Amino acid sequence: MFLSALFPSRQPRMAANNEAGGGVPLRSDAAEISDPAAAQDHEDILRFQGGDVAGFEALMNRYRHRAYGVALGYVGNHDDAMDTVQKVFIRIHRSLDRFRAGEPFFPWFYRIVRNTALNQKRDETRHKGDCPLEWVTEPARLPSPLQAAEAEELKARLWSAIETLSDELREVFLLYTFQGLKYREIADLLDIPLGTVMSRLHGARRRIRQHLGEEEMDS
Amino acid sequence: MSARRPFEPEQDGPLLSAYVDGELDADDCVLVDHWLADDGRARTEVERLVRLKAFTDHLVLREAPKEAWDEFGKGIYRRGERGLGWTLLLVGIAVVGGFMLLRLGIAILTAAIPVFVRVGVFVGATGGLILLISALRQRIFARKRDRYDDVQR
Repeated sequence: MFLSALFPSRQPRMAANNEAGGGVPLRSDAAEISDPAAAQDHEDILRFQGGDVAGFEALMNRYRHRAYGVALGYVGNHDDAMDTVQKVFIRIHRSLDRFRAGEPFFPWFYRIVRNTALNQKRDETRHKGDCPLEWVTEPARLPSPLQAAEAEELKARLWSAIETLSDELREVFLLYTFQGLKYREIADLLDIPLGTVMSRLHGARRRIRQHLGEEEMDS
Repeated sequence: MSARRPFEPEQDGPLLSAYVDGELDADDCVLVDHWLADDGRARTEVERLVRLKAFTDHLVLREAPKEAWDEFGKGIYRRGERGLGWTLLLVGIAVVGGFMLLRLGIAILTAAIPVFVRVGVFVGATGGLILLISALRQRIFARKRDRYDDVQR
């Protein structure tokens, strides 16, 4: 009852962290890039490969927020996420010369962010993760301070539940829930069958519900 | 095309998730609609999924504060600068160290020093070489096995 009163309708999954790149298709044709965002990526990559560093800077400015969002999902705290994003763009700067122009940029970029974030998470234990989630639509909908406090606690517990997921379940859940990708896009990105995306996402949700307590979600 | 069959909670959960997300094709949607009409377990599961989804749809991952981005470019520059510094330092150490070791080896072989000292130096150098090779091998092995270290396109 409480949850349905608080959240009667579905909201967009990504509120702020898509300065650009949010709608970038995962597949594009080298000969004909119809999507404006993908065409812009292509143009910036070609500029960089032609020796114009402004191409790299434009790419970085467009994708840094998204890199931060992906990294934050893996490492769970601001400091490590920021470290990760810096390392990501150093790696991209080193290897963008070898990037095949016309290939879709986002899958390549995502793998670099993911791998860098996982290395960061493995190497860095000094930063404890706080809850990096925030409400899209807070406090107007919250009927009372008590319910607001309960909602905050539930949010923290949700993150705690996400952290207990295996890497495979967590990755699919984060991509769907916070990066706004469709099932097919996730399947293409991770190179897994569509059915595997479905089962991993459902598995993640089931575990999260178990962690939160079914009865709490039902109330 | 999905044949009409009874709902199996353990097996069909992913279909219900996809249904709630609006990711099913028309045939599977019809199948799930039948389950929802016929089976209370399917209805309960969908209601739970809808509630969880309603909850998560109101959350986003926090954005980095603006001041963090102000420092971002400088941070990348500093990292690059330090990387270059470390590389040059290590190259310098390798060149100078190699030269000194070579001179030391020549001095030991040519100088009039007792045999047991020469043997001691040789044994020590061999031990050092084994340690170096072992460390390098372990590092190369770890690099090959590390599933996150190689970035593939």
